[in-house]
Amino acid sequence: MPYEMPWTEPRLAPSAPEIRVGHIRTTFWCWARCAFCDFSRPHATRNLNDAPPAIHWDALASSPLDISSASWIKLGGGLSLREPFDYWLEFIRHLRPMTQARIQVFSVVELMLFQRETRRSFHDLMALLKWAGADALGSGGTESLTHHVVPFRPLAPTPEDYGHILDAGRGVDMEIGVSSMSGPGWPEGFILHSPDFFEVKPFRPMNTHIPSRETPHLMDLVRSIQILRQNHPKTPIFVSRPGPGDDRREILSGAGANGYLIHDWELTP
Amino acid sequence: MREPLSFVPTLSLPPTCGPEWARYLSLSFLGGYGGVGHIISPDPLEGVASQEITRPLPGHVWATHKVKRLKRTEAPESLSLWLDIPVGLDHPSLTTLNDAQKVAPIRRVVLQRTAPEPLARLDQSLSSLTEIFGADKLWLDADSLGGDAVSYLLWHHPELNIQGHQALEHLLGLARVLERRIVVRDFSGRPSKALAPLPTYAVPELPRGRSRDMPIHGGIV
Repeated sequence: MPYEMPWTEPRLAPSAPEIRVGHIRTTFWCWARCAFCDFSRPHATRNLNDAPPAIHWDALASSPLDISSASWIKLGGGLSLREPFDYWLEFIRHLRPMTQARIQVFSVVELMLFQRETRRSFHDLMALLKWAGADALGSGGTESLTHHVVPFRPLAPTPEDYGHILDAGRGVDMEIGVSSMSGPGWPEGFILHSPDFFEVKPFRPMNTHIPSRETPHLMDLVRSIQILRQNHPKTPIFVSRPGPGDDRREILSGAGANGYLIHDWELTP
Repeated sequence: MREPLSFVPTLSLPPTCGPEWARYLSLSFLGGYGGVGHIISPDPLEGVASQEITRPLPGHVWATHKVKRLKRTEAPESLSLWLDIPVGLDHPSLTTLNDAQKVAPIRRVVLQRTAPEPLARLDQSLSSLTEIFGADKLWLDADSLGGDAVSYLLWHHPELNIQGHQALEHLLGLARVLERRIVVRDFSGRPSKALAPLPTYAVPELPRGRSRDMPIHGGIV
């Protein structure tokens, strides 16, 4: 059910702060083939061991990157199923002492996969991730709560699933957000729950199967943020890769954005 | 669909290009807009219906950033004054504007942004300028302002005219958002042309149910 909200005129506000984000890609390989994804490289194999190996924790120490330059680190990637959940707990335990950054691990979709794979409850999984050193669960996959384009894929969380995951996260003090993809013609859906934060992502149609050629206009982003801000007045809204320019940031801050997630570095397998 | 956005595709030729090269650049630029467009040139060009000249010449429109006292033999038909959007009462653009009125009739004022002035001040200044001069003579130079600033300013001042070249992609997006067509025109008196809107991705009704029963990796998990 989309929000009923007319276009509201854009306003200006002092630019919200930039947050430097480091990305650790677990794997680019993924069997899910979500139509909107421009990230993964699908693999057709039925044999899990044929999937290329995911990133190893040795890469953290051997990389020439200064990982301390990022104040957020996001760990996540495709769904390869090759490495078990416990491997990633070890990975996070290696990462945690190396940085003071907020570590955001996986996404709601990946957590749903781990739940199916390990037969553990959301609460157990979240407690283990927290124990290993994670601060937050990534919001990826929750677009299905806000956009009716995305549900056509396995593991799309329903509002009920998301409610359970949110409860599990709150039980162990892990933040969980909602992703809101912004693109022309995409109606914004109704968000039942009140997440810990929103991440607004400008939709990039290149290399996806969504038959759209347009990236969102600045005013599309403004509208997405205005809608979220009006319905969730106190929840922080972060805009992922907002694009260059002070004007743009002042306009998005005027709509209600609280921070801009700027790509800092990337570590890939 | 509301009133269309008026856009004048404008090409400023470099001061050093010779007449053949200038003509080639102009015609290739105008060809991209179906023959409609405006050229700012150091010398008069043959075969270009809408142009301004960057030096004072009798019978032509003088496109200039600053004015000087002219001889009677130099007097242009009118002025196209290119100014930084004035912020504050002591801004040099206001002095130039005042001086220009004594030199020749002002046909239009093209508002630029060459210094990094905050958008809020530009917005405020445009409100005052529109009130004093009316929107008919005021043009926003989309190329120097940038697509984001133009989008914001046009939202608040929908009556302003726009010119430029590089910001067209951004304007097409804005036109979709504002539900306005873009009409390209120039100053030759020829009829304007409406640009086709960008194709927009439609979001049809979802089929019943969600496809959560799609297989997960061949049913392994």
